[in-house]
Amino acid sequence: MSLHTPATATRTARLGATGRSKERTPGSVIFLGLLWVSLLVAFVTLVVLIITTVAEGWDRLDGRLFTEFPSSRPAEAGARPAVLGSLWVVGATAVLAIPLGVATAVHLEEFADRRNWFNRFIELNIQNLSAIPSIIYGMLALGVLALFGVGNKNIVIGAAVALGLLILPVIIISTREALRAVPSELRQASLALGSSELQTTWRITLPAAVPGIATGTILALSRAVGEAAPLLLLGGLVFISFDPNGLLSGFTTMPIQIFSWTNAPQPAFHELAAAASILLIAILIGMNAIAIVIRNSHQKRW
Amino acid sequence: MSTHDDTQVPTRNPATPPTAAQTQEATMAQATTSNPISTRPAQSAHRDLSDTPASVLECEDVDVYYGQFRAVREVSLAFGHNEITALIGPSGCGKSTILRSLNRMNDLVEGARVKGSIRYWGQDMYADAVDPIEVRRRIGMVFQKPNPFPKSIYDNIAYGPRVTGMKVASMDDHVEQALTRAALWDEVKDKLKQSAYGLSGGQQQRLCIARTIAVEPDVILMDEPCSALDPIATARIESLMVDLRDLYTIVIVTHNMQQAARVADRTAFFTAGVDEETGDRTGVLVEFDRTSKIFENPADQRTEDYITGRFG
Repeated sequence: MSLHTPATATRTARLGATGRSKERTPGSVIFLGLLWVSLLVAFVTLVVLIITTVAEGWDRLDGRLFTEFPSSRPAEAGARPAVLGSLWVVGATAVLAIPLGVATAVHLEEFADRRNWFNRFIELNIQNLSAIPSIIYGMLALGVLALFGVGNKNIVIGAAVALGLLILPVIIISTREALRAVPSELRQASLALGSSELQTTWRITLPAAVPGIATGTILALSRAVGEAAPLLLLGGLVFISFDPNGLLSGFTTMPIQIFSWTNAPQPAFHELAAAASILLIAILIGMNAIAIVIRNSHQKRW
Repeated sequence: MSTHDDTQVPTRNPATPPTAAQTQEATMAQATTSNPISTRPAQSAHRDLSDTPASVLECEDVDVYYGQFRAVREVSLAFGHNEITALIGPSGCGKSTILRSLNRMNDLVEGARVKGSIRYWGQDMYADAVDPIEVRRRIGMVFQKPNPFPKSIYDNIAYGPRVTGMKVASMDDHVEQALTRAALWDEVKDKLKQSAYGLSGGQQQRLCIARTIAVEPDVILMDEPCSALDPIATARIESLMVDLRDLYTIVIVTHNMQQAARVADRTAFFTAGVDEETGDRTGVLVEFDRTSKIFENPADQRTEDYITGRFG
């Protein structure tokens, strides 16, 4: 249909009196409805999950959860080693994965020759790595530990290797995106002043990309915090009655502790599991909030 | 905040250069009240020049290739010491390509190659022994869009001296000197620690010029430095260029013919020649002479057609 503009006098009247807009056909209304339903399903599921968890675990969410060791008597049990174990494992994971991931991304983005088949092959593999099921990384870490002749696989460094490999692709990809968002004009300006490519990367490109890198890294680490499968493979499902105190120490983490309590027959342990879940959710929301704050406070217009 | 936001922008009539010069002087007088360094009105190109420039940079039979594509053909040019040389011509005529090969910024483009010789004070700039980083330190560059670093004003200036390992007695004095030369000191002296992104576009571009000056280059290349600026900011940059030519050799690429006529001592006119067989557009140098000669009495018909607005 061709558009027709009537004489000026009637134009406003016509436009105001539009009875049947093209934007409100039955098809589009149904589509909009479906979108709303999808949103509602996702949202309601989340809300119900959180509410039931909080309702079940609220009474048990007290100091004992942080101070007591696991016990066969629910009233005396706590998640102290699991909380500390999670801290140790995630800390070690961060130390392993962040420098490696950022360095890889810097190399691929700033220095590597993209026409080289080997570099393209590496890039393709990094994309693929992020789609690999996490339990495979647990097997990989088992293999690495066996290679070093480690007998007891349930140690912090083993878990850090598994989770580090797991989040490495996420860190690499988000760092590359952050680096790509730094305008090439800044690099050119730096090079035109007589600085080397290394100085430019170190002093201009990387600092400008830090907010993006931090956001991606925190989100990757929060994934590591909630991960259980690869650690189960490493024998993380154990009864620990001491504080983990080093990289070679035995450990358990919060998701595994929750898993173990959920399996127990007594309902009191289920309450404990719910309480620990609330704590884990709070930690994850906190980490994501930090990521959002960093992203928003460093948003730059170039 | 710029102090002259409310100033009426005078209309320039391209057909009558004297009028343009007058309006420019007028804006200059308003713009520079707080600015001791650039009170001298922009001079036009009519100053005594030797017939052949005492060349700092010399191109001889320069071809620039991007992969198999020849972007510029057989350019021979000499850029005079303490002179402003303008490169003008229609889009795609290779003037920016030539400019970027003068400080080896073209090296950063994949597949870019320079054939022929470009000499800096007689030394072959593309010889194997020459470090492109050293070339870029001596031959600075100001870009089309102001591109300050996401740092403070102070750190923007101090960056160059720091990374190149310059020995400066006092960085504070060095920063002040660079900003003063770029006619920006009075506007920013109270906010040196603030982000450079808080400055207006024209101030940012002068900051970029100051940043380039801070590494004490010999030559400053400017790639359409005013194309993103309003007329008043443009006028200030132009007067700054005229101030700076006593200290530096300046090469400027511009789309604005009046700008070339106002500031340049010598002007090179490029155009794009189309290859009959392949259809590739290759930039060629048509004419290079004193600016007054190019604009008043060009030797080549194509130059005359371009400056009178018949094409381009």
